[in-house]
Amino acid sequence: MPTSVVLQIALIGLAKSGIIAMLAIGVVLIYRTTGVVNLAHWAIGLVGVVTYVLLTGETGVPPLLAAAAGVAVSVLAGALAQRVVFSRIGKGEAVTMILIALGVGAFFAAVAQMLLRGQRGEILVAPFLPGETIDLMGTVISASELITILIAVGSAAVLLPWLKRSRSGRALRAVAQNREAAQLAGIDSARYAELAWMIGSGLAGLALLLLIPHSAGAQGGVLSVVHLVPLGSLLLPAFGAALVGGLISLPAALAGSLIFGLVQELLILAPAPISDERDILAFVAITVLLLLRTERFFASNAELEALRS
Amino acid sequence: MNTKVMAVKPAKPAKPELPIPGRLPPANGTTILAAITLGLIAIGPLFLGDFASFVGARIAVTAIVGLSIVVVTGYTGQLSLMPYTFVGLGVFVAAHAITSWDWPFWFAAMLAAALSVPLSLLVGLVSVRLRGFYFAIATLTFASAMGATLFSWDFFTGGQKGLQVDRPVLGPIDLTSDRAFYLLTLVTVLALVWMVMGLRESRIGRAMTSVRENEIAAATMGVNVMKTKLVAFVVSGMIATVGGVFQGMLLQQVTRTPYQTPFVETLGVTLVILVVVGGMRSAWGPFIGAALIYVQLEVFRTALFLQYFIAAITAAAFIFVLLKLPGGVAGLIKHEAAQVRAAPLKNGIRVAIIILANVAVFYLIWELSQ
Repeated sequence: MPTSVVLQIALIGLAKSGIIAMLAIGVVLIYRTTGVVNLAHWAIGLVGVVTYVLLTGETGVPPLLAAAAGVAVSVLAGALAQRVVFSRIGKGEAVTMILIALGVGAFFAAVAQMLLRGQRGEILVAPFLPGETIDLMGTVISASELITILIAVGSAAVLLPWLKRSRSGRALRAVAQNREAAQLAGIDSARYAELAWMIGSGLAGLALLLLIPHSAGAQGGVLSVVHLVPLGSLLLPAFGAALVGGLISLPAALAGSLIFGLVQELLILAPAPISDERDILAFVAITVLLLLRTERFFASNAELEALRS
Repeated sequence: MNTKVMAVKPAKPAKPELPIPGRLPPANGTTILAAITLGLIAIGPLFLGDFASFVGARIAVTAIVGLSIVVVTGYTGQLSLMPYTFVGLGVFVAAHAITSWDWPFWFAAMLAAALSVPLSLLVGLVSVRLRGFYFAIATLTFASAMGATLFSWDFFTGGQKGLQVDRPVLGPIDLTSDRAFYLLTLVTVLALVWMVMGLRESRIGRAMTSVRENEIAAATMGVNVMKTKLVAFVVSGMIATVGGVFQGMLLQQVTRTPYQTPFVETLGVTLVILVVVGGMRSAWGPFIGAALIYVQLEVFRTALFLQYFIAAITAAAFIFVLLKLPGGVAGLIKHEAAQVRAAPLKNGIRVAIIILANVAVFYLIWELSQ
């Protein structure tokens, strides 16, 4: 196997990891600060993509500006979901919470489809990143993949230190660890919950914008039925990645996204039965992670109690 | 002084262990009127033609599958997002058994229900220890995994082309027309509703409710929590698979696409939404939910924009029901019926106005969409 092929596959895997990581960060951030398992994550990102599609398709807004608007709309959708729906859920059953998240997801997916005026089949989407390929010592890399990786690494590199050091970041972590104590210390937990939703939703919008407008390479992307339904092929790996950190630890979630992106892509090189059943292996991995109850390794019992109530 | 005295309920006589529903409601004027109205609505599609009968059959089949959600989520409090994996099993077992092997459909339904047990045991034994969203994610994962294995095998699903399912002909009775098939599904769903109502009254059904309300308290009372959850999951899988057999006969030409990613998860979520709107703790809930949503979807079949509008409204209604109206529409109907019984004239007029307003809005949208 020539090194350049391995390197090419690794880069594709890394780009996929980056997209999964951006979704997983949002899932973890929202779960930690509000206790909501956000099954609507994918659909909130989709609203941003649809905004981008409508802006580039009809009004001729420059793609980069449209992409920024798409992310902004995702942020707005997330804030709206938190303010209108999730902040009103009292301490209740876990099942009701998941059901409501599914309902919010279904709502945003339906709105996205409504905005596309119910077009079926495939919609061509203009790209906003350069479509060129770069030849790096015999390895052909597409620029959009490289940029995807850079954006993912960049957002993690900004977010993690920000959470650790900055005033808002520390307040956010305080809310995550103990909502009541944070409230007593003068932190407006509702405001910070909304902030977590906004950051997570913005990252979801960005992740999908990197995925869909470049799914077909330099020509742009294809928005198909597969993308218009909120669950499925990408939310599940994102949850798998987040589960590596028990939905609690961000660094572990980032490591998890490497498993569900890079490792899964590299398994193409493995011998026949493994390379054909890569998807099944991912599903088995998620089930094992669920059974391990990984959150035990990352949080104290008191923190877990606070999250569940 | 508080004049309310705590009413001490007389001890109920011991319920039979078999899942037999409680007594029928008393035959007073209101119930007779309600029964006649419901009966007229139920046989209505027969007079409206084949298309209406097809829609009616579709509602009935969806209600059968929805009953599986009532058992596992409504009664036991576990959210399963893989009902359509079981439906797919039923659909393709029906295709093989009815069309290829020439079995009568109830044999096919029994075979399908029997085959669902190993599948639900496999999933159940792995995931029954998981709670809340962990269980939901596990079922979601299994739905995707089954789509990539079981439903990708060509000999089972007939590949891209799919398979054919024949509707039954019982000696001289031909059930192949849409009207006759509608009657068959109606009878089946009523029988299953009756059985699921009976299940709640049975010992295992009460164990399910106690597990839903508080697992620790249930265990303290001597309920085997794991076993109860597993039984609920297996029963729900059997119901969904039987629903699948009817789904196959309804569609007649079946392909594997709906049972693979991304559709299998979406279908599961859509089903949960309509069951919750209808009322997930009532055996009538799935029927009401399916009727509310499918009538609209079928009437506005050609107007895609309206279809998604309805989907958005339904999702919003779903969230509202979860936040404010835990009983769903079934609970609302029950509440209103009690109000009407208490003060027939005053509340009857109010309910009639609400129903008429809804019919008027529906008619207006219908006229505008033409």
